[in-house]
Amino acid sequence: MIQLKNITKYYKNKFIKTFVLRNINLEVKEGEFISVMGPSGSGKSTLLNIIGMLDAPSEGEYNFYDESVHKMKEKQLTELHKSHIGFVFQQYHLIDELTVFENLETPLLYQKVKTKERKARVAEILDQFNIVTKKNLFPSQLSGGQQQLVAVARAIITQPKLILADEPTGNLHSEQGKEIMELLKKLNKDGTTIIQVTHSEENAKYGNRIIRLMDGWIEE
Amino acid sequence: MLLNYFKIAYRNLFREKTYSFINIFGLALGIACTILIYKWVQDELSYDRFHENADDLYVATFSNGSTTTPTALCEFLKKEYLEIKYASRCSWDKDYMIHYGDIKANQNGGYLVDKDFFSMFTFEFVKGNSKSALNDPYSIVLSKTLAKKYFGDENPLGKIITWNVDYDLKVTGVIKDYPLNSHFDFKYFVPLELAKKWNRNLDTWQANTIQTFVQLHDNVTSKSINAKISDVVEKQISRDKRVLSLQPITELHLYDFPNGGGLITYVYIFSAMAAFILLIACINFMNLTTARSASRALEVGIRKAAGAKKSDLVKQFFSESIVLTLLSMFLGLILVVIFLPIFNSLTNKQFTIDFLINTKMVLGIIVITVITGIISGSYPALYLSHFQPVKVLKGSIRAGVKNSSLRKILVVTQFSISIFLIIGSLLILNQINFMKNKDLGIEKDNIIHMRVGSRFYKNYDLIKKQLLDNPNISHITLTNCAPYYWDSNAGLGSVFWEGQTNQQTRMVDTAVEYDFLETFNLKLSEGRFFSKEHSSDIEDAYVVNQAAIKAMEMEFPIGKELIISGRKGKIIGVLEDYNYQSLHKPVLPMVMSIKPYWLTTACLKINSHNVSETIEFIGEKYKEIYPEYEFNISSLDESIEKQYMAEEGIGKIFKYFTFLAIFISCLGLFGLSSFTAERRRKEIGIRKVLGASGSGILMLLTTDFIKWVFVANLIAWPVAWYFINNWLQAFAYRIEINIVPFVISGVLTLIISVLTVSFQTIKAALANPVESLRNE
Repeated sequence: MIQLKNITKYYKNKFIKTFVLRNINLEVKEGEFISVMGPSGSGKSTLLNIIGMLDAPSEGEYNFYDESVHKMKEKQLTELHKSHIGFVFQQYHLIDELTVFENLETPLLYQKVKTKERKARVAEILDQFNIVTKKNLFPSQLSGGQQQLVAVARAIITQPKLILADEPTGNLHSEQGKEIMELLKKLNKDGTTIIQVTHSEENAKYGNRIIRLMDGWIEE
Repeated sequence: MLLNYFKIAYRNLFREKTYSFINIFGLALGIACTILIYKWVQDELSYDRFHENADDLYVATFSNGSTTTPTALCEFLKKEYLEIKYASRCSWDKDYMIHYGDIKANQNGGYLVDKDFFSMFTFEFVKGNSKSALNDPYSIVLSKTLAKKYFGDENPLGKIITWNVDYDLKVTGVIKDYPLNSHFDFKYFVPLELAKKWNRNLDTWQANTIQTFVQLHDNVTSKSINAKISDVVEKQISRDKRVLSLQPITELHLYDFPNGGGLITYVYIFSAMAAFILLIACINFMNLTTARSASRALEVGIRKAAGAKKSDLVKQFFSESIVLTLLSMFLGLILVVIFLPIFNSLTNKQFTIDFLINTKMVLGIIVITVITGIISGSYPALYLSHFQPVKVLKGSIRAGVKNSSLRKILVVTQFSISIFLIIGSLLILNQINFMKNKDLGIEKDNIIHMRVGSRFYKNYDLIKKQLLDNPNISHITLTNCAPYYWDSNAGLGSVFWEGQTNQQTRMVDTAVEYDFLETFNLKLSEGRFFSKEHSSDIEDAYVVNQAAIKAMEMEFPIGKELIISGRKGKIIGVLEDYNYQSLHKPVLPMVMSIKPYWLTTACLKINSHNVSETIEFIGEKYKEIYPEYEFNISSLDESIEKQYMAEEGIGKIFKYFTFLAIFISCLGLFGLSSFTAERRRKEIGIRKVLGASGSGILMLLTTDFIKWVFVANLIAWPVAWYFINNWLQAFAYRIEINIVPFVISGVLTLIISVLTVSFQTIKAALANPVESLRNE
């Protein structure tokens, strides 16, 4: 599904190149649940952003379902990522001005899903996540765990093949964190590929493979 | 403490350069506008106020607005009414030939007045004595400029000059040049006594030819005396039913008598405009300051936690706005200096920079600045200082969101004003173009006109033949009323006609020559025009216009008898109406007749090629007849356009101020949109991650602003319609207000605002979401 060959990412600052990722080679198969671990500043989030097509590598090849991502134009990238990839962030990143319902609806709007089907899918996911009663509340009226629940729901509402989660439980207490991890595991079981960045060994165990990053290198 | 406030103000100013620039520049423009308009208004209101007795000076005016009164009125009023302290007649402004030594020229601004005149009006005598200057009929009082022109550095007193060709007058006084801010244009004075030498009608009720000025005693109101004099003229001449009253001379410049309106309308309009522009600039300040409150909220919290009272903070924010307004004021003054020449040419004034140093002006500027500071500072100060420290420090106040509805209202206000001004300028422009291009019913192109006298019409047949020999001159005619020229002061004649029941009407009494019809290409609707083949036409024939037929309610006018100003005759033809005065006024009933001794203006139709040669040729002929006069000629279409100079000036000023208002509004919108884009950075990032395209984001951010502009249109349209419709009522001929200018202004503001907003939003829409969603 994902093939990274010699991916390198650096920032140029006049004379010095600051490397964030160096020669990353990684293959992800469909149905995997990968945990990326490493200390702060080791490049975990950058790697995730590159996989999620939000950021471009400085060098190297990236193939997604045998398509060369590194050669694509902005428009194709947007098209590809909005139909295949869902994101979950540590800070949830819900839109404060929109209700839970509207937040869930947003990705479908961008995919030009028809109103009727949109409503149906939002209703379905509200039901599935057990948050029907919260649908008219604004993010600020929810607890952190509930917000992250909505964020995950929003990530999977487009039924992506791949979910990228950047420390999804980082801001939650353990009880809520566990809930979210169970949820991801269930999604994985149903066939969704998941890559998560995490600090916690415990959470990493939910996955079936661990990749450790150190100063931009993958440690085997 | 105060120093601390100013330090913070100063640092904030420099930290947020864009916002500070928008605020200061916008306010400076607003202040500059206000100062200039304030000066203009002050000047217009000062007209004729410099006379020491300004409040007691009046001019006798008839109910139709005419100030041309019987010559006997003055003496009568003075004798009969004790309320009147002084009274003086005054002729109309006229050109007379003045000759001394080598210099011989027509001088305008010449007036014939009675002895009382200098006791009533304030003139500063540089030489001579105001009390005795006009005692001898053969005397003349000159302005300083004229004295300088004729006598150079010599002492003009006692010198003899030749005036109006036949009279040798002694210079008995020199006055300081008459101020520009007056309804009158006095340049020199000759005693009216002298006119008795050639005019036998100087003490009669029969001839309406002169103005009558009076000065009332201090404690007398015009109301009390108006009640007594209203029928003075009617008592002498029963057919003249017009009501006489006294009109303050200070109102002559500003008010149209008797219906009101006039320049005073524009004084109000421009004052309102200045207030609007200043308001727009103040709104920018309020909007931007409150929008940025997020960055100030923390400071407020910390200060409060450190023991600041609410009033301390109010003081602090006020000092910030005052620092800002002071800076704006100085920049505004610089702008005034820069734009003064343009403003002068727009308004036809001659203001110099030193007007800024006069006490009233300085006071005015201080008041403008303080008001600006208070208006723009009050809301932010009260708003920012009410934050509760606990909430702010915890970060639970998401400043800039809560009060966004107020900001919307303010922006809508700004745009409503701008749209209103755009519609106003467009419609004023339309009306001016309409007046310039309207078919007047006469030929006005390629016609030139000049003043002539008795020598001309006495030899008219010969002169005409000589002129028409030139192939470039196709027509020539004479009249007393060139088709732009007639003004209400020329007086209307009372008319009686065959079959008159109880209608009463007064008509314009016009003298023409046989070729008047052809020269101006007028159309007859009935009958015939004057013709040499009918030898009696010169004695008893009248041609009237359709308005006259309507006024007389005549069905078959041809051959009917008509008497105007005592002359009996028959109607031989009816002319289609043509506009012989400005389009402010309707076509009045008019009677034409052949009266050679009335003719004062020659009109010539010339070929559009070789114009300068033709005019040179006419000039030579003129010199042959009038070797002692200057040759002056004007073209008819220019003379007609001149009638609309006031409107054109107003239109231009309106245009400039409209542009300014839009510009300042856009400055504010620019600031506000960059703030919005900044505040929604995170949201934009999320949306992009969820798959929004750049154009989608752009739409998201601009639709909000577009909505406001729409609302502004809804508010501005009816208001604009109402005011412009009122303004148009002053014109007898006016445009129909249609939807086009409204739509244009709507679309224009929409385009301008979208462009302004997109400048910021495109940047936001194209930004990499990773940047805005980073953890920190």
